[in-house]
Amino acid sequence: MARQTCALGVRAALLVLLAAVACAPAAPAPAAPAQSAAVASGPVDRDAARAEGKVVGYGTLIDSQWKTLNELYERQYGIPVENWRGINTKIQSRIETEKSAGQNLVDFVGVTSYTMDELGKEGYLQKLPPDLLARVPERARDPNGYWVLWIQLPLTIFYNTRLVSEAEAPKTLEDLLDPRWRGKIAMPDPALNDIVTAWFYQLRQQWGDERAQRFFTGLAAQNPTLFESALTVSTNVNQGQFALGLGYLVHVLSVGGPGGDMAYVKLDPTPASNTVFALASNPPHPQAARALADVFLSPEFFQSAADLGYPTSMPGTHSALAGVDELNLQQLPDLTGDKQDEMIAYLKGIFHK
Amino acid sequence: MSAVGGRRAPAPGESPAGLASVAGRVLPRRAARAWRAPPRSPAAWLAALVLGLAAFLSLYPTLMVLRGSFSGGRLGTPAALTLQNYVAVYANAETYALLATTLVYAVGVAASSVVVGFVLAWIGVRTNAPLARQMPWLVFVPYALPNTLSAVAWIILANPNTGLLNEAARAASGGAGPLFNVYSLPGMVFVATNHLFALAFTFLAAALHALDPALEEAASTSGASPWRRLWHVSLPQAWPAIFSTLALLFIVGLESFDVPAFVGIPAGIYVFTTQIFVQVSVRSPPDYGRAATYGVLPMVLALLLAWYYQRTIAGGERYATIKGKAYRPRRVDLGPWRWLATALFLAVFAVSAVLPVGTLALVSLAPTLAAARDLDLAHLGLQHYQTILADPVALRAIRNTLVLALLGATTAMGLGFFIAYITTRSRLPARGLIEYVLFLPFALASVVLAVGILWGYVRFPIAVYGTIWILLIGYVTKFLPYGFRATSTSLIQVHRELEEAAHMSGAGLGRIVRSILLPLTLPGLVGGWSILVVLFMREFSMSLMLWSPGSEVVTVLFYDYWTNGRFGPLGALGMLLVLVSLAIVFAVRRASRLDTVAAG
Repeated sequence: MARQTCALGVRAALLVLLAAVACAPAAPAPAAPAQSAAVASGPVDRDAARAEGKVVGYGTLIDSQWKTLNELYERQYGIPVENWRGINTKIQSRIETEKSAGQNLVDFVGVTSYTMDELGKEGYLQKLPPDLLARVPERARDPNGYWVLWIQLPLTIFYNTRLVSEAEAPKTLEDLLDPRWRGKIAMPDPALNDIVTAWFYQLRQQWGDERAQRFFTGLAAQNPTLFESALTVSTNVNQGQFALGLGYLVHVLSVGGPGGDMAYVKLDPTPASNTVFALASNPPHPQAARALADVFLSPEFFQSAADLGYPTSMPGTHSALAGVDELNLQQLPDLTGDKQDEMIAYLKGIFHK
Repeated sequence: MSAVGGRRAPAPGESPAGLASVAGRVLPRRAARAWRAPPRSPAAWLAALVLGLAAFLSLYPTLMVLRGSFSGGRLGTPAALTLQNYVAVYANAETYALLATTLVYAVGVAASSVVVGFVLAWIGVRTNAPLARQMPWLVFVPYALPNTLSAVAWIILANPNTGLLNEAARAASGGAGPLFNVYSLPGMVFVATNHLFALAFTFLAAALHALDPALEEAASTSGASPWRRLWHVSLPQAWPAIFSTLALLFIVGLESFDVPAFVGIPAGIYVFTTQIFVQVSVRSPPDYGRAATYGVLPMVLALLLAWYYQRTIAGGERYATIKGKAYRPRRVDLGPWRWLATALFLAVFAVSAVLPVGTLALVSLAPTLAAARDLDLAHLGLQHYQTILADPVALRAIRNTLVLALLGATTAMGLGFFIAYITTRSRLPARGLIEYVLFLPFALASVVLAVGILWGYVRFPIAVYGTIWILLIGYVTKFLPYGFRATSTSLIQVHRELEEAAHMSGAGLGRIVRSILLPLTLPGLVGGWSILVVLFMREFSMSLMLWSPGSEVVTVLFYDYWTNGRFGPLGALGMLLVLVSLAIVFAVRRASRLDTVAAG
């Protein structure tokens, strides 16, 4: 009988399991992306914010930016900013997964505008109150009211000045095809990093297929080392692991530090991505999130970005990196959906072995 | 495989299924008599519950991988069944290029690990080379170094531009080109081999130790040189063990994610596991259906191979050289070659352990990577250790890692004990099936299993996503077979008569377990538990897919530090993990007395 009981148990478990698997699709769908009420305009409720204990953000900000944000926020509210740094697509992917799980784990987001548009479309963001939108000029506001532009991220070639002199540094993108740079280039993987995918898409549009193809295949033949994140590229070039890098121009200062070992090549026009700020829908810490927005869009935090070399959307701030304010910035196209998939497949064919 | 006479836990990476079949053969008939719990007694219900839970843990995510591969919808949401993922993945030539790369990598890793492992195991177990008895201990140093850290160390040592080894080679030769390039397929195989040869060593050392020395002695009497004896006598005898190790390491190579992620992605070289990771974690929106579909092929391959491996093990009797006749294995006298043999072992040890650990230690102490590269010893300090210990996220990751490792190992061993008790003390018809069911997730690549877990648990009635509990479920699901094997190999050595005597004296089941079984099986349980603690502390693939902010573990931080170029904190955190792991590994060696293998 005991044997029968055990066998029965196993069979019952298997039946329950099969039922669970079969029922999985019938599980209740996540609630329709609710338009949560916008956070309150006006002054922040400090006590309520503090009582929530912390605020959580996902963003492409670099360590020093997170650190400054945390310092400013903690100083005012006495609670920390917990952050997770990733590339745009990873952040979008994580938020999608969390929302699929019916979980709201993030309070605010800092990614590029077209990734934020995608998140907005899915209902993962809430509209910003008018007083926060008014912190930046109208041209820096999302027409749908979800986000505001924080900083621009110009893209270029940079190099380690201990390994490459200014005279021998490449002057154009196509100079990278010189055989002397073979094996010495680091760059974000154009099939993984959406910003570089969009950059190369833009080059293909501007140069035409033939010239772009020649450049991409020539660059791939230089055997570049491909990282997921542009930050990995700049830290590696800064530390001398590679002579040249493709990535964010301002990392020359924000990663290399003042008087550091990196310099950049001025491209004309200079392609640029951006980072915009938004609040998540149904944030787990609503009051702390409102308070965070207040700090994030404060003149002090804009100035801290400018001090690291970033062109910001706040009038009156100036990049601490020489020449950046004079760059002819050209915004990257919003590359999503099928066009993005097609470009990724094209670049994979060239850059992946 | 290893001898089953010693009371021991399976070694890290040892196939629980392989041991299962051996255990099945040696299980005394009397011990397999009917389990005598009365019908509908609490014990019977408990047994049903435990077996049901184990079946659920193993089958649910596995089936969810299949279910997900037929879904066109978002993770965990209702969607009609579709073949679109299969068309997109398997009608695409790119997939077969990916398969070819994956197979080349897995074969390369398995073959090179077995070659290195066999030669060193032969030196350590069958020869009189100096330090031979210490070799089984020493090989655990490279094994204790997680692949993630080994990969980072080798990137610093052998990247084509400024790798320390390349710079040294350039300085010595005056040449301009790199001598080593870690960012290549051979580089990936090399880095993985540095770690996995230790596993091959462990399996093959046990097999070589068990070989009858009579044939070698006969060859020696006939004037064969030590190397000729190795080639013509030892090698053919050890072939079943070599083949099973090869098969097992091929599965490990197939499911490997850490080295392909750290070294392969920068080189533009993708294997199935990294492709699955990209589909889920980098692609936006994440495509879990396609990730599951990518996971199906390696899953089928691994299961086929595991089945074939089982059959090979089961048919291994014809190779048996351990007979009833008593014998004492004798070590081969290598003469003057013994010094060369030790030098070979030390060279491999230096490459696989000293160089990477030394590099990590240097990076953890130097203010910058450039300073480490310049060997700027004047500015070494503990600043990165201080950074780690002052960083709340790092401290939380350390705490999460310890909680998961301790709780996970205890849960897996506890569940494993119950299941092993039921399977060794009952005549349950589904007993053999249970072992196979438990083995299912073990044969899955961790990233594939993680996809199944996400599909299965993301909208589970109990909210586990976003907590450390989903990691615990993943760890226990994957490594429950270890817990089961560690306990069943100990349990089958405790004769049923002891329990019968206690039963006759009026002791209940709880008392029998507490007073007889637990004390007698404790060394095996402690050994298995310690190994699981180490495995959980270094788990990377599933953790990277299942973590959320707040549930970070140390290996996730490694990846985070790596992608953010924070080499110093990475080195510091890595050194802390290595030191703790080594301490536990050596405690394991003592507890489970694996070193007796080398004592011949």
